[in-house]
Amino acid sequence: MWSIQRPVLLLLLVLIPFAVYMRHFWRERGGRLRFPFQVYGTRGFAPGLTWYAVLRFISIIAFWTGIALVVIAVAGPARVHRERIYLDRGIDIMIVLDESPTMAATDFGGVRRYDGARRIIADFVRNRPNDAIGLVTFAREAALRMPPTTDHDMLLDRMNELQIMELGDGTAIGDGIAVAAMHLRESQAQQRVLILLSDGVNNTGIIMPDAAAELAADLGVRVYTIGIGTQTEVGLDFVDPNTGRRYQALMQEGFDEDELRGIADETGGVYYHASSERTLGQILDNIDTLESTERRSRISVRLEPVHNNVLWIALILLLLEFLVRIAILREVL
Amino acid sequence: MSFQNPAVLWALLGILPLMLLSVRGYLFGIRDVRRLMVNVDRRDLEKLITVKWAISTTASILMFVALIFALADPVWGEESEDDGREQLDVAISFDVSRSMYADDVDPTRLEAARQAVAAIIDSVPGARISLTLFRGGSSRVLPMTEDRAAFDYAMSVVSPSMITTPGTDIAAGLRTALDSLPSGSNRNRAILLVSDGEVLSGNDLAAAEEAAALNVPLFVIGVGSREGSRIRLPDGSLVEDSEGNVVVSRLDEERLERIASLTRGRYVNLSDSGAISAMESELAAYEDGAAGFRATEVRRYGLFAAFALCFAVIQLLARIVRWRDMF
Repeated sequence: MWSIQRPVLLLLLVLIPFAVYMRHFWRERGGRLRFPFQVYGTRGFAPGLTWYAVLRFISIIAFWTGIALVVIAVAGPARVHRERIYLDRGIDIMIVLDESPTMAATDFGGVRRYDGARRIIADFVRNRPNDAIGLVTFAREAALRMPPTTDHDMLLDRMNELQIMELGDGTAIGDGIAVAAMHLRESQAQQRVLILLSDGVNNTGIIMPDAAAELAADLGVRVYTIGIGTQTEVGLDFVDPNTGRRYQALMQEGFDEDELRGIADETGGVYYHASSERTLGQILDNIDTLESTERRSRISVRLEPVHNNVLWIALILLLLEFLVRIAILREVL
Repeated sequence: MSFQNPAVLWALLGILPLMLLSVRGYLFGIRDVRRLMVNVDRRDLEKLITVKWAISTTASILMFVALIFALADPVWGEESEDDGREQLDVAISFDVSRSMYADDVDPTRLEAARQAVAAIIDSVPGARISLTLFRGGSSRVLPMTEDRAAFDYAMSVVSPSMITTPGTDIAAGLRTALDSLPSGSNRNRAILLVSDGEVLSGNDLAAAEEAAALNVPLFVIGVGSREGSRIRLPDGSLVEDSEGNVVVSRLDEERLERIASLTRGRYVNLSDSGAISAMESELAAYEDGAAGFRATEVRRYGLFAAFALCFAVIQLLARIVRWRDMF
């Protein structure tokens, strides 16, 4: 997008054709000597098409183009940058993702639960441009992967780098919730939300899930819990990042529905069960709707002046004409 | 009056050859007229040509002078601008080059800088912070966040070993920090640059101009002493150059001051007493939206380009208007 800061001045361009007429076509113009070169009744002489004539024509074009560009520069050309600015602060969301080996189960339509979940989370993140979103993962331990930020590119990059088993073997749901809640503690957002995705039973960690839920409730953090997977036998497929060994196995293990429901109830959240990638997508859409906020925004306009480029071209063209005229064509005036 | 591109003014030196060429053209022109008008009384004509030539050439030359001035982008005066921003986003850009191990600041530049940043950030509790480390390359280690726990942790592990490319590329550090300021945010934006200012690569002035174009001021903390210091690595050895001489690292204050002033920011030397509190009050004032930061200098190129147009018109008129029905 382009804009002109003083458009009225562009009217000066209208004068240019008039000036061209006065300078090159008007019979009474100055700078010419009159003398007879035509015998009455015969044809006079006229210069043919010489290099001088071509050069002169080019220099004239250069001159008037240069003048036109100076007029444009005076009018203040600028490039317009528009940016959507959100006036309200969004909510803070912490995603707490299970990273235990069972997340490698390939029952999400042939895709690993872990990969399916990451894809759905990425869609969810892209839908909420104004909300600060962070990421905690857990297995034997829990770790903050990304503090809540609106820098979603960095969040998604980080999430895609994650590997199953980086945090060992186990399911420390309580630790996951506690770490996420702690990092929401200093948030000034009106709403603070934690989305927990797990496919296992809390079997390790220092903090029990109900204690962590209590902590979250005290901090005013709402926890949505999502149980992933089915109770049937499913195949596993993952590479241990520490040893580089690939594991393939069959397993039958489920999550504890009551535990997850209890956490949600304690903190004012909702419990969901996601048996497939599609249902997980619907669940996150649902949470998206539940946590919808008013998004007021304005468009901020920033002008980047481009007169400099225009003036440079003008200067070069005018200089070209001047040099050609006085040094090569040697016009007296 | 000051110029945004003062270097362009050197082009004024080109005016002299233009004048010489014009005089040469005039002498040839008079000779040609004499040859052409053998049988005519030429004295009036020559006088006329001389006057017209003087007017049109002077106007042409002045047109070029005005254009060069316009290109140098003169600015004077200020106009204030209210962009309705509130609160504060601070992108910290932290130098982790090896020269930060120098101990001309107690205990080392790195440690002193780390403590200074922590103190300054504590003074703006509502601000969001991001952390960029730079050396020969740069890396964003913390995105813009309110999470002070994550920030404290990130600061506690800052060390030169976090970036492997050797060198000091302030430009890369500035650009990465600039990138970490989220778009679409309604907050005031600032960069806090911590460096010993020894630039080894990159065009830091160009990066500072990019920040200025986005109205992001640079608050710069210089770490080190002008006298310089040898660099003692944690293993006790001194940094030497390829010829085995001990390297002395000096704080380049002029450079840091210049990039701060380009963006209407502020430079302080960490060794000066009150440096930290000065920076704290700068940031606090900026967060409150002090008017001084919002003002932009008025660019006057349009005036000079208009002068150039006027001279072009004078030049044209001198040539178009026929005088005394002769020339």
